[in-house]
Amino acid sequence: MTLTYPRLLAAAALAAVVEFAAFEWRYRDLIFLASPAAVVAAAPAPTVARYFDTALARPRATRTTLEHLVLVATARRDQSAAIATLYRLVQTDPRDPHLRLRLADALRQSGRLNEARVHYREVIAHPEEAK
Amino acid sequence: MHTTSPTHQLKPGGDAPFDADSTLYYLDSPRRRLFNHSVVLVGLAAYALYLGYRTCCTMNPATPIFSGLLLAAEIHGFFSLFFFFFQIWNRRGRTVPAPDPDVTVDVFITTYNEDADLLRQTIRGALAMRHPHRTFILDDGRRPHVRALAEELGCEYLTRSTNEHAKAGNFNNAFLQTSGTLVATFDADHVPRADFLERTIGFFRDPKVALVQVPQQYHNLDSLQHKIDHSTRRIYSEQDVFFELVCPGKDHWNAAFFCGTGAVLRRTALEPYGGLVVGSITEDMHTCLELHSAGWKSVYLNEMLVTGLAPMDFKTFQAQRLRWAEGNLKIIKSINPLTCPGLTLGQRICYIASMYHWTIGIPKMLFYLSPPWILFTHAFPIVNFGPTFLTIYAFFLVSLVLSYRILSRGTGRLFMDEFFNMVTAFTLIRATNRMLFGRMPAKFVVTDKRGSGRPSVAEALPHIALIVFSGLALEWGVLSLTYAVSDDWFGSGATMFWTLYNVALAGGAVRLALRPPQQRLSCRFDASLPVEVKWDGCPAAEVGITRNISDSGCALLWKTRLAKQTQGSLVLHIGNRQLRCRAEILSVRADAGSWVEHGVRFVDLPIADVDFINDAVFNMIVPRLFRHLSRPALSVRLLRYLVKTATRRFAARPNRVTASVPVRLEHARREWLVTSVDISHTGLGLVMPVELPAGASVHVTVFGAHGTWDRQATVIRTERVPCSTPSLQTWTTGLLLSAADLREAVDLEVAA
Repeated sequence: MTLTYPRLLAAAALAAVVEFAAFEWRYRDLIFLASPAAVVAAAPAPTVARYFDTALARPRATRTTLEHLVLVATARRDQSAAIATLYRLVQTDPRDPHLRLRLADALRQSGRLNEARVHYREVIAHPEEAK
Repeated sequence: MHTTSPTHQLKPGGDAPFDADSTLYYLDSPRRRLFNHSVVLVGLAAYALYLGYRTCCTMNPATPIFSGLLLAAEIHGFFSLFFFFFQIWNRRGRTVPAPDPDVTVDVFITTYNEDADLLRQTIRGALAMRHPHRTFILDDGRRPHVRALAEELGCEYLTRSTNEHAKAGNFNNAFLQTSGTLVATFDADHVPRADFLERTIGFFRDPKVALVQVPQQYHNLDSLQHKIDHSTRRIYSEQDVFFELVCPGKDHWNAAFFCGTGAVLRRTALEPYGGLVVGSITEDMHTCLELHSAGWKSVYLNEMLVTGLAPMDFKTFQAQRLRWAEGNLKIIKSINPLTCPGLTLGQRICYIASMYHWTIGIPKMLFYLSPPWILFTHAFPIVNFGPTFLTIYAFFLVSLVLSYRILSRGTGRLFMDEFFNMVTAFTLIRATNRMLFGRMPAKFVVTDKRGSGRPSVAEALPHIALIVFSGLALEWGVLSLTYAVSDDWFGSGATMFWTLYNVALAGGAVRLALRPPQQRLSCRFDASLPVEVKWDGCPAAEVGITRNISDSGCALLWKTRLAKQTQGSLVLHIGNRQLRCRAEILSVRADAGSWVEHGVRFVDLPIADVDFINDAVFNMIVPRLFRHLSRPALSVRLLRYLVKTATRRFAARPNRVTASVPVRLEHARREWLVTSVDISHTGLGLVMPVELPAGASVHVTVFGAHGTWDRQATVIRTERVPCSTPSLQTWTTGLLLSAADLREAVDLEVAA
């Protein structure tokens, strides 16, 4: 079979489709959770929970992904899941006072005042970063 | 490259023996050398600082192997740069001493399976060399028609019953049967110029000189390793850096080495080895290493005295590079330049540099594979990849590019060099692999001079695979950013840019591999030669001009479109000679301005005329073509333009434009049909086969695409064009036209 440019293009297109399928299989949870929060919240609860847990368990979950998860958890009124995600989020950048403040607020709202106090103090202890 | 090097004045009647070192001179002024050395030191220091920063501040402990490999590749690059700078520390030229008239020379032309017509050109070139010599055709193919060719042309034929040790064995077989003091050797496709021996054998007056090597230039400018830009009149050849920079630099260290062809060797130096050293597939470098180790001197004369054929297709090119790389790397198993006795430190480093050059494949492959790997795995080998790193990297890169550009004096082109690194990377990995893990026995592969005649898809498969891998990585990277698998937009963006750059290089390599094969049997050479043709059925002969020519046909520019298979009687004007034959139109191509280009075949051209065309090609057309395409770099041209513009204001000379049209010139009841080289509203430049005296009054008839016009003119200057063959000598002649009403006619010609 001779190598021609149309054939090369067809092969490239096929490879791109196959790769997208592989990507979809590998990151199905992230693709689903990247949908708008309202769409995610409207999905069946077990599906959302499964994808949520899979995404949260990823060792290299990015800040953007974790932000998505917080939104999803908030839309589902799952406070404990939101706090667990915020803890992961704080780990991505421990010096970010805004993340810590969000975590402290969430802890306070769920009645975990002792934990919230620790984080509020942490924010106050580094006012230059809060600026 | 020099067209002609200065002549060396021998001391008359002195008792002191001639020393070839006295012919050496610096190509750069002392001030320029000081500047060059400073640039070398700054370039190396910048690279060293960058490596220090990389090692101390940017290694990623999370990916130690990947980080380490990438750093190792960069350290390899540092040593490459060091070796390159060491070799070009001082570039040397040579003055040419007069040859010893009594020295005897044997000329060896080694052949195995090359075509007879190719050999014919080489044998004729060798026989035509001035200085008494014996020419031997060494045929390892044991072919009767080559024997007949040798007998026809008057050279001696030698063969042997086996092909042991390939080219070196063939050479040695003849070496033992001959007795000349010197041996000149040429590959089957390397046609020497008539003054080859005159220019080279004078160096052997120094009894310590064992070798004189000249550069390998290739006359098939449509080969795989050439890139010609006709608009800027610049030519790039992949081996320019080696022959224009590295070899003159090696000569400074007495480390110029034998390149296998276009060289003269001293018999007594080779006798201890029975000729060339065998047991290696790059017998040339191995032999030279042994000679230097034994205390002999070598000379590199940077003059275009011989031209050959470069590989025409990807497959042949890769096979040739694999042989060179494998041979050079394997030499270290036979003789180690670091430990073998008798070499100076400079020679040791030069030889190691030559071998080290061929190890570049693996580090390059790391650079090609790293970006896609990063995009797939999100594992960055560099930490702190931010503005600080980019600033330091930019400083390092700019210093590297600038130092290379300054020191390569317009010869090196970084992008093209990078491109050919991509082309050869996989082949060089194969060579390194064979050197490390062995492949017995190493086989000498003869370079196919005509090309394989089909696109080299198989040879391009590694590049195609790299493009596919990189393309998939790019898609993966985009999807990763889209779905927040990665949120490092800066790092991913830089990696994608790096990947795209590599894909562009690999795409260029694939395009090179898939380019249509050469269909013509013989090479065509760009040449504007005047032609008179009387086409069958036409009442009179008319005038046209060639665009290119070979010994079987030409591309003819004609004022009107002619039908295919039209035949006629053609008179081709080459120098002082007129070549007459029948011609047939085979094709009609797109219009070249107002001229129509026709593919023309010479019908039943006698062999004597074929030989004459080839003589003209190798002694007149090819040197002229190289001169035409060796335009200075942009910076030099810009400077000249500024000076020219400033002085023109006072001289008020109209701008001359390059234009090749046929011109008939009459002077003293003689007439010539010649070609113009440039044209203006008041003057004309011509290539003449005779020298006309300045002030002579002539009559010119210009055959333009838009009509014929004639004028009286005065010769204002003549300049001899360097040529090794007196019968093909030409002069560029400047004419001042007597009437200045030619603006419209000239503008039409320039437009055409």
